[in-house]
Amino acid sequence: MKNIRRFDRGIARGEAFVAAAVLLIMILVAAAQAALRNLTNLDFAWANLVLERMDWADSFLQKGTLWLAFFGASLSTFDEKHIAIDVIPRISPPRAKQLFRAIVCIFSAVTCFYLGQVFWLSVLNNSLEIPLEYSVLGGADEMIHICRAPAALLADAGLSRPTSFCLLRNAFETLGIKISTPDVALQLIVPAMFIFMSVRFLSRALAASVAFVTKTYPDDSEGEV
Amino acid sequence: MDGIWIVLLTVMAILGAPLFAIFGAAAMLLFGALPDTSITGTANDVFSEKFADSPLLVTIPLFTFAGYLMAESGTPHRLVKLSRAWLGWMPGGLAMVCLVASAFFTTFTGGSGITIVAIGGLLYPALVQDKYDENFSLGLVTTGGSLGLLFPPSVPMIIYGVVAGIMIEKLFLAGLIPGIITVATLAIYSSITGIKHKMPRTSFDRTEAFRSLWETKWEALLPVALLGGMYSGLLRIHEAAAFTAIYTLVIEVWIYRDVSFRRDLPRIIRESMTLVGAILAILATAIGFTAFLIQARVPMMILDSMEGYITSQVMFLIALNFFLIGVGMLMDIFSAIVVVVPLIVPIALGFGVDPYHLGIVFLLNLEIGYMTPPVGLNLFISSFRFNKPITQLYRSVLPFIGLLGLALVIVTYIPALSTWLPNMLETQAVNLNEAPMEGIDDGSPTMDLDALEDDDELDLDALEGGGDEPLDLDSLEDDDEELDLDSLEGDDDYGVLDDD
Repeated sequence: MKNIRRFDRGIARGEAFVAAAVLLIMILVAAAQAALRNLTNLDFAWANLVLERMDWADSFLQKGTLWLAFFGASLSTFDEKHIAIDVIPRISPPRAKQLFRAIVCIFSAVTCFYLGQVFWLSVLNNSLEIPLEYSVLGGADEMIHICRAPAALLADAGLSRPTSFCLLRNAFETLGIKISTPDVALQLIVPAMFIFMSVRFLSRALAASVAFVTKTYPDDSEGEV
Repeated sequence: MDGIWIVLLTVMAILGAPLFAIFGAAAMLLFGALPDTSITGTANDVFSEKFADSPLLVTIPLFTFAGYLMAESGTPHRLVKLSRAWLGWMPGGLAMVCLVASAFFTTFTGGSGITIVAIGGLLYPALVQDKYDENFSLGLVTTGGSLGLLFPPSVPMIIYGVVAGIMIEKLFLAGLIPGIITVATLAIYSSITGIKHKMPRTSFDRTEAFRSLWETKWEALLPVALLGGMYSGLLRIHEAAAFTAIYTLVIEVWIYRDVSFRRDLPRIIRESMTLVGAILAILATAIGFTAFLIQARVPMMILDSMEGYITSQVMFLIALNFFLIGVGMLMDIFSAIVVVVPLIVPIALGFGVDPYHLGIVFLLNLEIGYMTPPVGLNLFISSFRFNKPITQLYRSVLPFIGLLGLALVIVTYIPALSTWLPNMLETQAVNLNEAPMEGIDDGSPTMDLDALEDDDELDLDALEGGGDEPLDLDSLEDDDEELDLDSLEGDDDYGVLDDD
């Protein structure tokens, strides 16, 4: 049990680090956007040029929020701080509390697993649609994904291959996952975190069951890193 | 959904299962029971402008982070000092200090209970020391925990804007007068209590007042800069949130030096994002649940069942208040917004209630619900923080619930209090011939692209008449007028055809 807890704690630290990095970058990007937009309104031509190069910013902020939401949700699971009607557990004796905790964690684990499955199918569904900016018209009038199109075809269409995204796409493809756009790749965080939360709830259920059986009640704040 | 599942979910909720799991399970079970319907299409909504792509959602982590940063810094001390210097001379001065400081603080912390810990933790011992009645003091600090919810930029207000699909700038304005009324009602009560019990007062010291104002100048400037930036058009809503976060970070870390960048900041970010995750997990899973309610035409069924009983707007508002106070007693504010708003909005519009007025009435009801027995969140936080039995908390908040109820009656039945300022903004925008802000809902109904589709995929061949003739796009357009796709899609950048 101790090893599982130590491992989980390490993962929570990693999640907190990613969340902090994403949040701080989001703050800087949104602040830069505001400054550049106002400088553009004041007729600073260079600001407009930079702003045009930041056309990814809105999408980044939206996907960043999605990542924060699910890393935060996973941390809430770690800390057992999800919003809940917890009147009964609050007023229950310690042993009953552990029993309720075990039941609730098993229920949450099962729900998270199925939610992960639903969102996984949803992301795969989204991946079936290849937007025009990620496809090239091939010889047999078929649309080819920009990462799979031959260099000559890309040159004819005046397009360049997004190298880093294509590397990521190829890596996913080796796992049997076809990702059509960077946006879809970022959406994978939702099913991934639901599945991870499911595992985390299961480990909590296990800890609560052990506490219930052995009548040794862990400190409520055990989740804190 | 079978009765057994309803019982199971209810039991799980009562036993303390996370509400996001309850909503998620309910959505999967409900959609699973429907023939020819898949929940996958509804899950797609989480990636659409209903959630992930909403320009308002970005503001939630940013404002929450700023609120946590303030809570961890010396801001509560400075706010209390400032309020005491300026209001301490009045009858019931210290109680008023508590109200004003709590309202300001909750505005930025979103009523997440931090106010009770940060401001209440400072003022409760001072109130008791000044011989204020213990129950009065407990009730006051508990009420303070949700007092600023009607002032911008409170997070529950933003979530209401996301769920109801209304313009957040106008909702912020709509809350100002009702917010002032709620604080004023409690301030009058505090004054009367102060006079009645001959509570000690401090004399007004002009030097001390201006010194405390100077000390708090950076925090005091924030609401002015934030609202000024938003309503002058300098800052879009998510930029305003980023401005608040970066401004708070700079003042707390590098100007006041209350927070260490290396030692404290990682912990503060972690704690704030834990709350954000807990809120947004509910918001994400409740989308499926509410989608089912809408698909099953539940609001329309409720509206139909009301016919004959509720015949006027006033009657509807009375029923709404009782219903929402009940909701507030049983659910936390975030779950209540995501579940109840989609049900209530169509019904309220049917009775001709202004959407911004409805938003304020809704939030004020939930503000009361936060402290309403038996499960108001603030009651538990106060009970834990001040080490008092929950039953004592129940007694202590009753007069405050009564007074907020009075404020609720005023705000509910005088709609102009909520609609006057937003209408002014609208008139101004019309006069200036301004376009709606980019990326923000302009309040106009958006076209439901899903409704255009049947269950099958859009058949482009069918549009072409099924023949071999090429599609004549020109013929689709009216004479010389260009086809305005934007007007079809509301103000989205592009329309996404979901496959449900």
